[in-house]
Amino acid sequence: MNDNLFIDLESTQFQPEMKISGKILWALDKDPKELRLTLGWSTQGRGSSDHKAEDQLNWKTNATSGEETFEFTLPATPYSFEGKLIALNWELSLTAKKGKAQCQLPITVSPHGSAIELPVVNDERKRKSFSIGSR
Amino acid sequence: MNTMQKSITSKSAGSRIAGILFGLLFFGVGFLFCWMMAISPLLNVINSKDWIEADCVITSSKVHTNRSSDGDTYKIEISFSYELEGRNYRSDTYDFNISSSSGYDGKAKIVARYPVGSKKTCWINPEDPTHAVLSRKVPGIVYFVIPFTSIFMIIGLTALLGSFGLLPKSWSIPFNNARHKRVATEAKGTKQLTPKNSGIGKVLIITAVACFWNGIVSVFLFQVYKGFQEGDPEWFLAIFMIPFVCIGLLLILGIIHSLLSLANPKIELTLSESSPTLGQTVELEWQANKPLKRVSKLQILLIGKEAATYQRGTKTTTDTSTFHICAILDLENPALHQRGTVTLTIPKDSMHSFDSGNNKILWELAVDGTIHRFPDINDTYPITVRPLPSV
Repeated sequence: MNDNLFIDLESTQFQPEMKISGKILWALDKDPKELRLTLGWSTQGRGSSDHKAEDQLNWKTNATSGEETFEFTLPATPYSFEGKLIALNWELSLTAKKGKAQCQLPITVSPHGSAIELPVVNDERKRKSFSIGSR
Repeated sequence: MNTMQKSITSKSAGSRIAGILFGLLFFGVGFLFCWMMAISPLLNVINSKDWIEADCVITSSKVHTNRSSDGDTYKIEISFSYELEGRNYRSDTYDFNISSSSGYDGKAKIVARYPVGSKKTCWINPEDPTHAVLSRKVPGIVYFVIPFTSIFMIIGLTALLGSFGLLPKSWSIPFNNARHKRVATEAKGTKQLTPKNSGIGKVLIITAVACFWNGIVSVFLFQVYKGFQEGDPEWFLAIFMIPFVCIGLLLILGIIHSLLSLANPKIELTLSESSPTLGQTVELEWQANKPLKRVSKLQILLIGKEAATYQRGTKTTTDTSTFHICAILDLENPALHQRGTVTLTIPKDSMHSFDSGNNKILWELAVDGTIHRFPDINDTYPITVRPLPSV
């Protein structure tokens, strides 16, 4: 039998400060000891990655299969966004303490439904520090 | 039975202690080696300029070999006898270098110039006649030790300052990944904005860097000067110093440039809401503290940009990409104006200010003024853009 972990949500697009509720389901070969569901975000792109766990739920269990409900309240910020250098992605991550089973579910946190897209604007200003020539 | 717990763990104390220990170790070891192998010999070289010149007789002359599992190292060992005020003395100090190093041939050539029984010139410390040397030149190893140990000291100092939170965020070492500063959601009201770099701050920083740099360079320049004055120029040192002197001159020009910038008119900016939300329209009041007679063009721009910091080898680099730029004031003849009020609207479908340490969304107002044949006005005023108000 394979290890299976699932996160069940009705939608993956959320408004900031909204409540997220759903279910986790597991069917594992061994007793997981503990299941951990983390709500967090991480940055991807040119910069060194930053990540933060905003909230976390732990279930101590010795059942090899089962389901649990969960509820998180999203913070007001940061929004999901995608720019030329940086992308910020939210996700729910479910892991079992014993064994290697894990499951990630990307979600979007934005007032507009989808991640905010940051365009590239040509900054034509010449930040020269000294001017010469005639007026 | 399943039991549920809600928790968030964070780590910082452990990584801070590790940072302090790491910093102390690197800085301490770097400083100790720099002092023993470079600064102390260098101070001795400078002090020895007043030592008494005397004749001496070489009594032994050889290259001493220190054997170790990492490979052999060598040191010049020349003993000589000399006389001062009717008393005889002996010394076995060739120069002020206290360490042995690899490279046998160079040392053997020096030893060959001092055969046993030959008469040579030595310099005697007038305060302690038992201390005398045959060479007052800067030991070659100093040129290697200073840059090498400086790397250790800079790394150690950076780690120490970072551990105590004394570094600008862009310099910090990511000991942990919880440097996210959540943007405030409350309004802050009317406020005069503060420029990112104050003119005096810039002058002080450049002056401090210039003094530090030119202070070190001047020690070596003094050595070169003395060599020329005594008719025994140190050509290698003179040529070696050229790029360092050029950097020192550029830093002095930087001080002049930043001092001239202080004479520029300062534009004071006041926002009716200093932390506007996305989509909010606010009033910006601007006022020059001096007449803008010499300014031929004045612009105030609202700029939004991404800033991503990453490590490339030992170097920390920050790349930026502009995603919003909008002129909110564009005056071709600002001499006719001294103050004014404009409105600006933060785009609604954009991104609020964000700072997670390595990755940032920055909003700022940039003031650009062109002054012919003079440093231009280039000031930036960071602002915080809050998220959309809660529904």
